[in-house]
Amino acid sequence: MSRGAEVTTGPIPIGQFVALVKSTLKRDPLFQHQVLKGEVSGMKVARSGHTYFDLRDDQGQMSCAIWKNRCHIDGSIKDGSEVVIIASIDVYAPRGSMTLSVEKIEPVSTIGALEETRRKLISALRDDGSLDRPRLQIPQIPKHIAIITGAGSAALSDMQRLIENRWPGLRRTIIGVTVQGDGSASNICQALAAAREMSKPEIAKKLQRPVVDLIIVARGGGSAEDLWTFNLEAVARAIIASPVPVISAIGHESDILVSDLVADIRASTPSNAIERCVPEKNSILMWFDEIEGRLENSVLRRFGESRQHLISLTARLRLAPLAGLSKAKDKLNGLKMRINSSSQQMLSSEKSRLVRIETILQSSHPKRVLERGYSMAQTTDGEILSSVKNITSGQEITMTFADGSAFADITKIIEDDEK
Amino acid sequence: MNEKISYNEAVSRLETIVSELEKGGKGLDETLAMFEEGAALLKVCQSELDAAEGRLAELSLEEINSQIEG
Repeated sequence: MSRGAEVTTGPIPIGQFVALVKSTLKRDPLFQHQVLKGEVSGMKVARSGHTYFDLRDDQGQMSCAIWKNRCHIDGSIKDGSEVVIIASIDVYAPRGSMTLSVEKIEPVSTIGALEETRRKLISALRDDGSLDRPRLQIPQIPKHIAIITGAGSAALSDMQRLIENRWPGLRRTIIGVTVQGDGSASNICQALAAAREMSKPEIAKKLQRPVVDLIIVARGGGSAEDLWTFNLEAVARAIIASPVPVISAIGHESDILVSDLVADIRASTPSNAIERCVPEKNSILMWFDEIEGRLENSVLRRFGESRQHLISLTARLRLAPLAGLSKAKDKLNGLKMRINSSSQQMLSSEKSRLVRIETILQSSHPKRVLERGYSMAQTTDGEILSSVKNITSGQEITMTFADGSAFADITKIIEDDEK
Repeated sequence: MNEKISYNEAVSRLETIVSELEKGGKGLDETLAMFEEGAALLKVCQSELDAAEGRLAELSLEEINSQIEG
């Protein structure tokens, strides 16, 4: 790349450059007679009769000038107004500033602009997670409800009547506010702040009431403009920040406001809010009765089961000894039989043994010996003589034979001595 | 039993106790203990009902704020 002196003519004087910018912008149709919209801010009328303001939105801003008598300015346009302008860009060379030279200015049709801000608010709330945040649970029986609504409104008397029908004397604090128009949003935010204070135990103690445990923000039906307060960011943020569950009950069934989207519960109407958070005392009492009955019945049944068990145990206990006895009897009988049979066996073997012994005895009876030809020598006194040493020569002895006896005299004794 | 039990907790504990007892199969001691706990919880719930009733106040925001600050 060449750095030659012929490429450049040197530094451009700033004035020339601003003039270049100005002519470029003024030539470009994009920057001329363009339709723009934004919010009016810092509006002032100079002594010259020209009107100056900034047109802004959340992305940027630019100063605007309405030259005296150049166009009509609607009397309602003031700071904060959303307007549509037709304007062309101009550059004021001495200051190098850009100005939009306004050819026409009109307020944006109110609801259209409101819709736009509402849409933007909803998408912002979605983006920062407010819409998806976990919601607070409302108490099953609220002990102290703060109801934020129009003082003396029809919505309030509807809610009061309904509460008395469902739960006579349910504790509540009604915080009367303005629910539409200028100041209503800040009024409602202050009421939410007050309810938040009343949810603190130390404040509740001072007020000699239980802590607020539920907040209802309610308003009866009305036009979209009437309800618009509940589409404002301040109200939405105050509801999101509430440490106490909030029910939003604005307008009719078909009205869905930003407060409905961010609240812990959206009720379709003020009456619906009461139906959703105030239980019917009678049905609660019935529930208690039912639970009490079930509790008692289940315990009684359990005790009944135990009693049955006890009865059957008792019966078994009574029968148990009998069963035991009969078992013992069986055992005894068995033993008896075993004893009988074994003693019989023993008897018969004894009997045969006796027979055997008898046979032996009989065979060894002295008479049997005598029958075989032997004879027995005895003294006359009957003493058996089994040795010659016990007799003397001339002694009379008795000889016994199998079939009789004889007396004999000893004539000679020969001893079988040293044989 | 925790004295600070909330109404919701008391109610759900009660439901549990009753259905457990209805299921049966518990020992007598346990049954009796659960029954006593249930009866105490019922008392807690009933006192919650009474606590829900009280004075009714209808106040302007200014009156409320002056009460809170006062």
